[in-house]
Amino acid sequence: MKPLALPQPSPSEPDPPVITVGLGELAAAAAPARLVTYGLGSCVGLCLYDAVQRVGGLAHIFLPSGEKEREGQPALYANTGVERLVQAVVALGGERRRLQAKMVGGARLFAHSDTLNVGLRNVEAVQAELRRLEIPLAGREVGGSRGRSLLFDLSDGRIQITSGGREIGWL
Amino acid sequence: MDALQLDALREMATIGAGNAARALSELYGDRRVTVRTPAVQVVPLARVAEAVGGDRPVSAVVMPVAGTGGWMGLVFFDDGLEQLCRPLVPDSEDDLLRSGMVEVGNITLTAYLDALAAFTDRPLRPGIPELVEDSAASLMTSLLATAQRVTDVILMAAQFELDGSHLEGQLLFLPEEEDLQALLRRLGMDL
Repeated sequence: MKPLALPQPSPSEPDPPVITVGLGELAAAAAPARLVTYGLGSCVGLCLYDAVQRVGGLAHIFLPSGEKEREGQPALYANTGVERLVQAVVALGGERRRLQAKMVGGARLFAHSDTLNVGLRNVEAVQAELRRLEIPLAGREVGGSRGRSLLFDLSDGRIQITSGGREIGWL
Repeated sequence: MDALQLDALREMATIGAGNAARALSELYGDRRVTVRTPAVQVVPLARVAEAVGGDRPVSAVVMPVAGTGGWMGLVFFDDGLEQLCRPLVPDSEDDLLRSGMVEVGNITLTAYLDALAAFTDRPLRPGIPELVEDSAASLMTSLLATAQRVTDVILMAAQFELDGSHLEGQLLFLPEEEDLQALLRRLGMDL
């Protein structure tokens, strides 16, 4: 049977690309791309943005520090991942002294067992690296007990944050 | 892992399922509960969040393995865990329902952990269980972040049958390195 001839969407602009960043991964891109990461529990999603060049990057950081490197996951640890994200954004034309950071995540899902509070330690480790690299923190949505996801729009630098399938805010 | 070793692992899971079904049947009074774990797989760390369900919402009971580290977990998509526990607290009091969910998870996980401890001859003891409602990916990455000596996750499909209704969940075992090696040795896979 022939498919119904549905009205076609206007052939003007194709949808901007969406790049998904998995655990321990990082990606840099330019407008109008969007960067997305899911399942930030105790992990931290770090976004860097150069608003003039309209380029930026996103890293999904797993732990405050570590040495055991894994192929394809350059951003597992804050102590190495933050600087690698900076390098990736600069390599794409971002101006280092114009970069601004925003971070999302660092929740504590397990009230009883997570005595170390990995989420809080992740947040502190990322902030310490940002200070060391002299990158200002322009916003953060961290802590609490629920996981989050984020969508980072490189056309304007805005970040949509969702939790439990609902939008909970913007940065 | 080859077919024979997976068979042996499934055999261990079947013993756990038998333990769990007996204990749950007691909890549910005279009702008959059956538990089956028809499929077992070993998933490497990097793929676990996706394998369990990615961004899908789950409710889970997780329990640290006292004595050695590591975790056990019982995970259901959407309101599966609530459905399983509803018959325990028919009058829908929220607090009671939540403690029912923790208890069902506790009993199930302890039953499997006992089977694992016997199978591996390792001192695996149940820790304090807790209920988590979040996305599968948030749950898994946060579990892994607190268990840094875990490299692979054993993922079991878990089918519960209660009064003729079926519910599908997943059972997780995040073994600490030495426990994983003891398990693999028991399966005839020396590392």
